[in-house]
Amino acid sequence: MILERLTLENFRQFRGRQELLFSDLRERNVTIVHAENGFGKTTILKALLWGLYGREGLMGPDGKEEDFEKPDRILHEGLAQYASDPNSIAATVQITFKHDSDRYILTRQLTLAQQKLQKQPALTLEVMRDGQTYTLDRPQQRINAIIPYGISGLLFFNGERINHLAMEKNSSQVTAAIHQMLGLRLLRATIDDLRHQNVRGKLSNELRDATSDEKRELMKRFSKLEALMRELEENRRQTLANLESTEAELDTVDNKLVANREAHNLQTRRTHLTLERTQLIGRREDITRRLSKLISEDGYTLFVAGLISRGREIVARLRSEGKIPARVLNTFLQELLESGICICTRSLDEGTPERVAVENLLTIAGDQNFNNAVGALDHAIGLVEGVALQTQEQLRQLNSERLELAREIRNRDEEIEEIHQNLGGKDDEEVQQLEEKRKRLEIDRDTMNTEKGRISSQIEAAELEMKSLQNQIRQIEDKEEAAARAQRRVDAADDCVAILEGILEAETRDLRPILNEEIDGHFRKIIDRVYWVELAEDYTLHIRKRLAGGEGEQELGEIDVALSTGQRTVASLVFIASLVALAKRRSEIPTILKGLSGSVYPVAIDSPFGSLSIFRQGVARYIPELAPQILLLVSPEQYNGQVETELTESGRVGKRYYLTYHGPTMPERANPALVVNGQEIQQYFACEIDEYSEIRGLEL
Amino acid sequence: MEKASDLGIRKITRAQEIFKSARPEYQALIRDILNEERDVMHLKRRSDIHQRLYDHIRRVIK
Repeated sequence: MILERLTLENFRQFRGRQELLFSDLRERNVTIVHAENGFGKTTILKALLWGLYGREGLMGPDGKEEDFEKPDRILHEGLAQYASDPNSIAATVQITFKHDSDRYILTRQLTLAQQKLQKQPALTLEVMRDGQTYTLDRPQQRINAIIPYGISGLLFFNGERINHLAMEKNSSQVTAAIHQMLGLRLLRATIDDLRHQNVRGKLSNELRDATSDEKRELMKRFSKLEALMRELEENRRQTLANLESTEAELDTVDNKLVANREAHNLQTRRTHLTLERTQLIGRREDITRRLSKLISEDGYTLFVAGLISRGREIVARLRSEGKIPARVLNTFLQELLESGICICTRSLDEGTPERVAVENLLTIAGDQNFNNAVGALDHAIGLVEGVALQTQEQLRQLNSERLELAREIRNRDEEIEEIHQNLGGKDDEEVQQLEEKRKRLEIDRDTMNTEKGRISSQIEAAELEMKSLQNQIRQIEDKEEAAARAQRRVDAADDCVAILEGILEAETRDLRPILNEEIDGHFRKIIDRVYWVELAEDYTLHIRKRLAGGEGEQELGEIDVALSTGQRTVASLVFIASLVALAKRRSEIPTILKGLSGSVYPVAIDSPFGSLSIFRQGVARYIPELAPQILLLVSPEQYNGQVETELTESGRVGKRYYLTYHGPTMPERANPALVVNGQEIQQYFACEIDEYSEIRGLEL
Repeated sequence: MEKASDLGIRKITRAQEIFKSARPEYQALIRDILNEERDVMHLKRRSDIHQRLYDHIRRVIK
């Protein structure tokens, strides 16, 4: 999908017909809309989402409206207030786009009458083919096939809120994003549908009606566990949502403290210490993992000292007794006796004194197998002893590192606590209140983390019990044919789910290295350091770096870098860029699913340069490569300076617009004039009777 | 860690291995079900697809 034109008519604050043409040139793929906060940047992003998905498009992933108050009031408020006929006035969003070389025109329209009754807007989708225009049936389904709703959050988003993808707790969002963007959503949807009460539940009810009392009883228990599981999953979802909002609130408090002159230095220091602490904890976890591996693989060698010395004693005694190495082997004497002739050619026939002499030698001869075994034992003792010494040394080193890290973590904790005491004791009332709020939020967060862990263990236990019940149910054979058939159908549903889950897991796992190569390539274009981004096996995004002991010393391993908001934003952006790039060449990547073709997607970002701190310049340089087509909605505050220089020098900006605001008072902190590339343009117009925004074109 | 280039060397993907090792009647069932899902996977309304999946299982598993 390549966007060509967006037309708004009476949509929210945009009064009358407003138009924005997107740049569709490969080499000038960036369209910029300059606007002060409050002039309508977010509304443009939301207009695209409303046009594509209706009211659903205005909601965030948690089902709540995001950055968009009163989502049921789509029509321009001034016009809505004075309209004489509610059927004659409407808000319209029209999106013209190209997809697979066809041009589509999507129109979503909501009349005032429909808005008042909270009715669905009308949607039409037309396609132009061979000079003819066709109106398509099931337009929403077609739109979802072209650009699924599930990926909209990755393509149209607020740049200041995208960092959540790089938070450890959001690995499920990362996996969902991979599934959505790369066509694996089909498998996920099928698994969910097969498990649904109307499919698996219905088959299970049929079995319950047809089967024995014993099996029925087990199935009843299974159903209860299923209900418990649903409840637990809901609790977990709720806890995670609460946790996320608490962490966001904590971020806000921290930002306010940084902005406060009294608290600035201490809060900045605390942020730094917290990052260090997270990093140290990461290193401690890494060492704990290495310790566990060492103990599970070689730990036994530490408990065999007694066996080693006993083994050594035995070998030494056998050697001193002359049993090893043996002077003569019993196998050799047996061969002589069997052949009946000695090596000196004398006969060893029965009754001869020579035979008796050789038979006597057998009593002192050594056994060959025994000799070999003692040799092997001696060798193994040597090896185990070597490993034991090495293990002991490694354990000592790792333990001392672990202790050192614990000490450093304690130091950070103490300093963080001291900062809390200092800030809490300040005379400034705002600082006191913020610090108190922060403390409460921290306690809430820790409680929620504990709750999350508790729910996870309950889910794990319920899953185990369900698995065991399922096996028991399967093992009870039904005598009646109807019951046996019902069981086969339940088994088929369960087995197909297991097969599809295996396939989904394998397909996702196979995509991971390809994604990692892509992610790494994108990341290096922004951050020119010794770091790299990695999508770990548990589908969490990490920034990693190699630890070196110093000049000429060996590497000490790799560690996760504690991520700042800026780094998390960069990691999230490169992850999205990698998905968009892979989606484009999807047909070249091996998959079991047929018909997965490559898809081109645009990316539209509201406030793309907000949470980037030192990475702002790198992102500005890289952003044209984020996707085949980019729409940036930027405030002058974020644009002026490094971003302006990078984007101008790149020559990748194909179209440029600005938003004007007309109203009785100018939004807070806005300037009446916009300065772009040295050009000063009036962007605020006083208007006593109405309030509205307009889209205006800018020279490049 | 497996490299992207290693995946190209493998003649058959892991997912294909899993699918091929499934019972033939399950393979047929999964094919039918995925074909049904393809058109409706993005829709919110699921009742029709649920009924169709249920019918497929009853038809294939006798």
